[in-house]
Amino acid sequence: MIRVVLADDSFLAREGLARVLGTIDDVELVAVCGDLDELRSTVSDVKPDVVLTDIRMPPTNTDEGIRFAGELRRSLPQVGVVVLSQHAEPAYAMSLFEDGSNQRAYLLKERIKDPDELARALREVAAGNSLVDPRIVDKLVSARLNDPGIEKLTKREREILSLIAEGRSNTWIAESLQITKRAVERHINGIFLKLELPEDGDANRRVKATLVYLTGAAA
Amino acid sequence: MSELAYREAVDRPWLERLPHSPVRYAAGVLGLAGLYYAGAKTGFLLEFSGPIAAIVWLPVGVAISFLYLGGLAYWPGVLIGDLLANNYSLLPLGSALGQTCGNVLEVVIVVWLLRRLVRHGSPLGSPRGVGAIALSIAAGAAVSATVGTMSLLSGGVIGIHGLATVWRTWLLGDASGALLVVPLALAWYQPLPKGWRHGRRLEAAAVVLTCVALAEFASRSSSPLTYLVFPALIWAALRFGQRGATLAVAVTAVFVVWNTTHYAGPFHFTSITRSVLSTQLFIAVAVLSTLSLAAVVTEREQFALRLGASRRRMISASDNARRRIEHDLHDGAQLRLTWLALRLRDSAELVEREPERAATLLAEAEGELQLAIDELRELANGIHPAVLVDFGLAEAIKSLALRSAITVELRELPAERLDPSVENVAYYVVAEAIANAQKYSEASLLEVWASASKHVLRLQVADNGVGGATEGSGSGLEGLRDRVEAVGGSVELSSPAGGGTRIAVAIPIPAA
Repeated sequence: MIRVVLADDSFLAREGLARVLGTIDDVELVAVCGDLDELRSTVSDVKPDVVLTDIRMPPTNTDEGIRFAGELRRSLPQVGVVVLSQHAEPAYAMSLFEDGSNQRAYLLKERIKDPDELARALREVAAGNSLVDPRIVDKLVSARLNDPGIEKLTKREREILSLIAEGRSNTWIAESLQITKRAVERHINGIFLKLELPEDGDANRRVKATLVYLTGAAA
Repeated sequence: MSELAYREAVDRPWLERLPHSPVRYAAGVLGLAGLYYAGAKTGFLLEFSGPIAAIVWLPVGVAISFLYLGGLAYWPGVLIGDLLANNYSLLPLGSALGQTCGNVLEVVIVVWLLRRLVRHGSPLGSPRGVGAIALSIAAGAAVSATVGTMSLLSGGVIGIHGLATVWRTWLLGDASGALLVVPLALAWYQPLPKGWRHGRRLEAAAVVLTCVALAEFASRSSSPLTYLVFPALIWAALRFGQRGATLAVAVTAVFVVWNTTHYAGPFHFTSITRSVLSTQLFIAVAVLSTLSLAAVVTEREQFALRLGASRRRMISASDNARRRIEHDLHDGAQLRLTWLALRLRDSAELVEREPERAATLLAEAEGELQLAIDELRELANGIHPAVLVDFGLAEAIKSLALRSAITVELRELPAERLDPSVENVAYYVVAEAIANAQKYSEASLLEVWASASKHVLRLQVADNGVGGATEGSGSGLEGLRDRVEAVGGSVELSSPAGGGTRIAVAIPIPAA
């Protein structure tokens, strides 16, 4: 079972999320919080596997979720964090990944209505992996189609690049594209070579590397 | 408004302004020659006897005004007029021709310099412009005086000992002639303002009459009371701007010169040279101080007008923005949600009878819901971009680039956070420039540079589109300028037809 603490300042969102979490078999909702202070004390008490939190909550209503994830990295490194956000902006995901992307996921808030994606995010984070909402990655990739590096990629390679940036594992990619794991690895090597990114076996570090490439290569 | 029409005439690229038809050109040249000749003859009325020592040499002012407003191409008119005005019975031909060359050169130099120093608007509109007038005229007059005295010297008309006096009188005569006529022509060239109330007409008449009375009294009296004219000149400048100032000072000068040459007054000395010098210096001082005052007044009035207009535009821009949000909410998200409610009701009805159709309807409803969510997110972002507040300008510009339909290359972005007001304005500039490019430019590529020093943020957005963008009313560019100027920044727009559009903005960074 994945033990989850949920935090959101909106009653509607809390109710909706609690209901969705209730439908996921391997998830146990152990506590629900309405602001950052409550979340902080609850988490240190119950030490959950994963915190599922809104990005902004009282007191400042800006980026409490991301800041709390940073705090946990130091105080309770074993706790994973899934941040729900209304911003389809890569900058927020990058900020969440600032001191490492493992055990961190950045999802758009509308995933409340999407139990499968939510469950997957919780499982990936609990397993130590990272994840970025596919809508953000799509947006990044489609905005950078004219990038000289991206232009060099084949259609299949672009597809795989998106999946890497979303945080999918090689096995998952292989299954969803119905190719062998070996073929996926070959594609990934090719992509990293063409984009001149340092090759990295660690799936979490490569999420960040691809995101950095997609958001920042031009500036 | 008359001011606009005037600015267009004065701002037109003057070197390219060649007359279209030869007949018009010839008429212009001859007209100028005639005016120049008339000016010279009038000038002779206002001077002591002798061909050399003019107190105010009016034709130089006439010629400068004509070439400044009409274009340098009319310079032969100056040549013809000057050749006609020369008194060949008193001067050797060589000296006469020499001084004519100096006079033509003087006019061309003054016009060229003045156009160089004041590139936009009327030189009378700012103290700097008045300074430019003084400087250009002084430079031109120095050239004419030098060439002229040399011609007279080599023709044997004057000896070496009189050289300095003649040179000085020549310089000051030309300068005061130009200082009287050029501002008068520039100020009165623009169409008269309409709709003056009765009281204002009366006041205008009173100013002129007071100037006449004071100038007549002050320049006839043998007591040194010349300073009496200044209150009237100041009155004219403060209340009637450039036109009032130039007219008042011209009227005053005419009376002073006439009385000094024909009767007596404070500038009447036994030495003609001394009389001339005093009168010339008085005219130069009166003209420059009155014009400076009028220029400051004009500058303030223009500034107040622009400020008022920009405040009105800001208010209407914010009204429009709210109206647009209202429209987007009504016609976008609200409509989708209403439609969704209908869909859900239909599905509820169908769910038992036709569960499969109900499922299709529900799936459609979900798609519609996703669209509504996307729309609301974009709308919220448009109202206030959270990424700008949370991550600063660089990330916010990257986010704009992601949303742009045209490829945006980010060449340079500031690494550090800046003052929030600066970031807001800068973000607005880039957003507006990208929006404009998407609407009008047909460009395939946009480039953005943003770099911050300690005191200023410089932004540049350039596209490779069709160009030809203007800052007309209603274009986003006007709102952009208003915002930037509201925080003390400046905007430069360059958009030649076919050459792409480049917007360069500098925004001062307030000291922390």
